[in-house]
Amino acid sequence: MFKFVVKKLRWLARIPVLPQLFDAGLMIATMLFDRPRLRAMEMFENAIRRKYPIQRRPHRFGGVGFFIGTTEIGHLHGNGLLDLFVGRSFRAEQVRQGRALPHHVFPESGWISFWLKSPADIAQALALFEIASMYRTTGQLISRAH
Amino acid sequence: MTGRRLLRIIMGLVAANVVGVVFCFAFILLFQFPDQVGLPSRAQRWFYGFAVMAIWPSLVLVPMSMGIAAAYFWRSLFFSLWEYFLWWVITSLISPFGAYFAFKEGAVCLLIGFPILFVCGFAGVLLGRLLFKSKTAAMNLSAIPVLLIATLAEGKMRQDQRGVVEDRLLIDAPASAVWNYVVSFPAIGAAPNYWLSKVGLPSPLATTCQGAFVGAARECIFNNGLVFKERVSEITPMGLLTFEIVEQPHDPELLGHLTLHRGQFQLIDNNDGTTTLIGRSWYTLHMRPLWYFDWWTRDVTSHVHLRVMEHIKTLAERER
Repeated sequence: MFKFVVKKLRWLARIPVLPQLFDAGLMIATMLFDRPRLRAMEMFENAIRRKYPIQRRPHRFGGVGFFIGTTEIGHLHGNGLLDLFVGRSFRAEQVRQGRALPHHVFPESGWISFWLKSPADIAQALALFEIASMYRTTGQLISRAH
Repeated sequence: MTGRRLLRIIMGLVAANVVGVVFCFAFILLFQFPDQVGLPSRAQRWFYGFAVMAIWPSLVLVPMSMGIAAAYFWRSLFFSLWEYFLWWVITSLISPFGAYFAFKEGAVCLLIGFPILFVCGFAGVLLGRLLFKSKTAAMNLSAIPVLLIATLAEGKMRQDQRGVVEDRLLIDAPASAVWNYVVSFPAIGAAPNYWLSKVGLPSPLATTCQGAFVGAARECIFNNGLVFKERVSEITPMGLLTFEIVEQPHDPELLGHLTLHRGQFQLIDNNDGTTTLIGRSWYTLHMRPLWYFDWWTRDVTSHVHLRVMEHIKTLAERER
């Protein structure tokens, strides 16, 4: 269902509020049918709030967006799918090592996807978030130096 | 739970419902304003145009605003997602119960509307929990006018939905046998098997008719005493029966939500001893969002058709 919507009905995301409604539906389904996943999502959110100077904002594609300033590090959908921007070289490496999946919509981009299924996945998710955060911060530093 | 915490929870709960009620009353006032003030016709048209955008209490805008209002009051409580969810369940149940007891709204309509109220409202809660905790909350609040415009535009762009529902049933009996039960039929004894009928939605019970001629008065009687008064407008023996609905019952499930215009039975003789019975209903739907309520209208109408058509099938096949 989620795959079908994000691949075939992606154009609907341009309609204001619709992605948020869809994500709320995903979140309700997670709450009702998959409590370990919900616990993992919550623990992950709390962990990164404690560790990073992160701002959480509603994401344009639904879910929670994690930002440092105006730079998006990644976002977490209501079904536990974590999307992070790590750049193409890091993406290839993480995917090759089996630590993450290619992005569920743009597999050739610098984005990766990771499913948070239970609290056991949090350590891996945090490690990926660390890479994404470093990549984004370093990228900013490089661009400032230029 | 401390008293202060409980107070904030209740404040959120009350605020959400107050927002919902205020929105609904604002829509009603907006609709009545041009008549009361006596605006010139052009201004009245313009105003009416705006009212049409806003009058239909959109089940996207209102619940989302309710959810955002609740999240505003709950922002300092550090709720887990599960707590947000549970408190929103309670908050969102107050509106339908209030509408049922205070405004005598139909229970089935409220039951149908509740999922969309709940989901849209919870989306508002999820948005609110991020908007009001973020340091850039003021900037993020710019999403709210966008939400407002999007929802109002939805109301403006779509006019009342006119539609027709059609159902077909194959009956193992000739058209002459089927026709005997199309114009009118004795009471349906079988209990309804549609789940909404089991929770209170009226289901058809019997039909009476003055006779098989154009202009004949016909009555479709439902199991809770509701009566649709109809008049036969077109008749071709063993082929077609069309009737106009001249008076719809004043039932809260229908009032202001749905107008039924016409019904029709068509018989197609398959020349093999069987008959295809087609039932059609024409209606206008006044509810928003249309895509959601139209789906329900079609589902409910189809079940009403099939209950009558299955009964006709049983009677006609038994006669054979």
